[in-house]
Amino acid sequence: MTSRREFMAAVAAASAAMALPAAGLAQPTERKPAAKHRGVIDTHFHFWAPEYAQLSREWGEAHHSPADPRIAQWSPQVALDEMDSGGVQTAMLSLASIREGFWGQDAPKATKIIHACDDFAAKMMSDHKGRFGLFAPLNMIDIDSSLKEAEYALDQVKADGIGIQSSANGRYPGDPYYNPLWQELNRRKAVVFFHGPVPDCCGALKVGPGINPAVGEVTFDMTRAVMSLLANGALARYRDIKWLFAYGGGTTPYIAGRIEAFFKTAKDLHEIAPDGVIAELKRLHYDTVNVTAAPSFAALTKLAPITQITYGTDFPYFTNDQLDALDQRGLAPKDLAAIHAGNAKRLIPRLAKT
Amino acid sequence: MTERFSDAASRREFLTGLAAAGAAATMAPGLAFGQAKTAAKPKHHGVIDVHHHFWAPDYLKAQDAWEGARHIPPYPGMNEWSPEVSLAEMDKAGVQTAIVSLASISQGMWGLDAAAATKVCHSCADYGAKMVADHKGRFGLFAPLNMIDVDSSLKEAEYAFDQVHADGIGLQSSYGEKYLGDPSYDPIWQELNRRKAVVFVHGPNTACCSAIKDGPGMFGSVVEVTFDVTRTCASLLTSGALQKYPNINWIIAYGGGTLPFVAGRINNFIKQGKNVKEIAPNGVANELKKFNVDTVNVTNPSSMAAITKFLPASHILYGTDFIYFHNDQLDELDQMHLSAKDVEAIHSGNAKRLLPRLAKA
Repeated sequence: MTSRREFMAAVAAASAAMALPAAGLAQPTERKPAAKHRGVIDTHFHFWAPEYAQLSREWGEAHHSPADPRIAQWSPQVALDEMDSGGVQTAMLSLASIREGFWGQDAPKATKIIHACDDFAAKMMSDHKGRFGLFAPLNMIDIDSSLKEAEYALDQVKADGIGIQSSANGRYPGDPYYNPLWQELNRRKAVVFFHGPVPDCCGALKVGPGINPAVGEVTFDMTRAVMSLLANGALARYRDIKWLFAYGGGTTPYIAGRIEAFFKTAKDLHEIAPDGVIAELKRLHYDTVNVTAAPSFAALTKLAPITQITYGTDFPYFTNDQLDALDQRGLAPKDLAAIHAGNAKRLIPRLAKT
Repeated sequence: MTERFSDAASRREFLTGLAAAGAAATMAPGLAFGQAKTAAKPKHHGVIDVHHHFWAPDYLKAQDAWEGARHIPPYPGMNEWSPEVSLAEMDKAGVQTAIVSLASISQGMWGLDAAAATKVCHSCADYGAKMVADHKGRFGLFAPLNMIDVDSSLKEAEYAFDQVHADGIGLQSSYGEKYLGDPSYDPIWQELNRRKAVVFVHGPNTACCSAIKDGPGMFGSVVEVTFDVTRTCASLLTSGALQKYPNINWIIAYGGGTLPFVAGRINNFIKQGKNVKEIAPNGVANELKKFNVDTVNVTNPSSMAAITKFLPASHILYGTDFIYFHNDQLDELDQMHLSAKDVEAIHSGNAKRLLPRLAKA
C-alpha cells in the first residue's frame, strides 16, 4: 500500500506537466502537490452506483431539481484521485442525501436499488483492496425490508456498518417504529452513520439568494436526529450501537446546553439519559465535515472527547482541503492522528489490519 | 425561550411532569413572589438583561385566542405575569434593567392582517413605555413591528422611537415565509440604519417546523427557534443587508442560535458563490462578526468555546429569556473562565454602549 501510494503521488507529480484534467471536478487545473498527510481514513465519502445515479437524476428531473454535476462526473477513479491527493488511505462509502423517503420509491424498488448499491460498493472494495469501506444504506421507509437490507449488507456484502439519513419522510430515527432495527444493530454492535438530507419540511424555505438549503437545513436535521434518539430513549437502550453523526453533529455541540436545560424537568430523564444529557452526547461519534473552522471545532472538542471524532470530507461536495484546516486547530500530534485514522480504526477494526 | 408547546398533548405531558416533580413552585421563582422568603443579597448587580419578555394585555389576548382555537393550554405563568413578577426576579439576581420584548409569535403575527397586527404592536409599545416610565431605570423596550406591511411597519417604527422612546426594535426571525433579508424589508432597514437602531431578533413558532416532534414531550420550539434565527442571519448576509446597513446593531437571541457553529460551513458554501464580493467584500467571517448575540442558553463550555472564537466579548450581551429561563444563567456565566473585564462588558457594558440611555440611568 505504501509503495502504491508513493507511486500514485509520483504519477501525480509527473503528470503536472502533462496537464491531465483535474480530478473530475470543475476546478482550476493546477495540479495538487504530493499529499501532505498519509494513512487518513475518511468516514464521510459518497458514491453512486449507476442504478442509483439514474434514480436520483430521474427524481431531480421530475421535481425540477437539477442534479449536481459532480454526480455525473463521479467514478471510482475520481474518488481515488481525490483520496490520493489528500493522503487518504481508506474512504468509507455512503449514499449522499436522499429525498422523499427513498426518492419516492416503494420498498421493493428501493431494496432493489439498495442491493445494487451494496454490490457496486463491494466491487469497489475488492477491486481496490484496502481503499474503501461501506456504510450500507437502508430504505428506512419500511422497517421489515430495512431489516432484511441490513442483514444482506452486513452478512453477504460484509459492509462495515450502516449509513442512513437523519430523517426519512419526516420520521426521525428515535421513532419507536425503528426499534426493531436498533435492536438488531445493537445485537451486532454496529456502526450507524447518519448523513444529512434537506428534509421535506424545509427544502423550499427561501432564506436568501445563493443560499443552498443544504447549508443550514442539513445541520438542523442532523440535530433533530440526535434529539430524537435521545428523547425516545434509544441512546440509553441501545448502548452497543456506535452512532456516528455527520457535520460534527449538525449543531449539537452548540446547543447542547439548551437541550440539557430543557430536559432538566423531564420526568423520565433518568431513563433516557442515566448520567445526564451531556454524558449521552459525549458518547456519540462525530465527523469533522465543515466544522474545522476554529469556533466550530472548539465547540465540538469541548463537548466530545477526541476519541469520538473522525475525519470526513463529504466528497464530492467538499474535499480534502479540510485536512489543512484541521492542521491549524492546534491539536497535539496524537490527537490529530486519532482523528485522522485511529478513532476510525477503533470503530471499524478491520481497517486496523489492512 | 419561546412557546414550549406546539401541541396540546405534549404540553399536558409536560405540565404533568412538572406537578409530579413538585417543580411548579420552584420552576419560576419569580412567579412565587407572593410566597418568597426574604431574598439574600444578590451576587451580582447592575446587570442588564437584553432578552426578557413581557405580556401586554393585547399580546396576551392575541396569543390566548390563537392557542385557545387550537386547544393549546397557555404556558404556566404567562397569564399571571406582571411587571412586578419581572422586578422580583430581577431584584433577586441583581439585574438593574431588563429590555423587554415580545415572546414568540405563531403564524406570522397570529395570522392577523397588517391593520390588526399593527394595533397589537402599538398597544404593546404603549404598555412597554408605561413600564419604563413607572419603574425608572428598571426597564427598556424593544418595540415590535408588524412586518406584514412595510408602510405601516415604518409608521410603527417612527411611533416607537419618536413618541414612545423605545430603545430599539424587537423582531422575530421570520414572518410566515419571509426571512429578514427579504428584499421587501429593505425600506425598513434603510430607516433603522439611518437611526442607528438596535434590532433584537427573537425566534418565532415557524410554520415549517414548530410542529416537528423529535420525541415524546418534546416541542418544536426547543431547538427550532435556534435554527430559525440562524436562517435569518444567513438571510441578512446573503441579501447584502448586513453589508448595506452597517449602522444597525443586531442582537441575535440564543447566542445567535447556531450561527457560531455553522459559520464555517456557511463560509465554505458561499465563498464560491458569484456575489460573494458584493455581500462580503472582506470575507464572510468579517460580515458575520457584525452580529451581537445574547447569552441565552449558551452559558456552557461548548457553546462559549465557539462564541469566544467567533465574536469579541464586546458583541456578547447578557439575556435570560424570562419567564422561560432565569438568572441562574448569571451563575453559569461566572463559571465560563472569562476575564472580569469581559464579564462586566457582557453583564452591562456592551448594552450601555449600544443603548447610551442606560449608561445615564
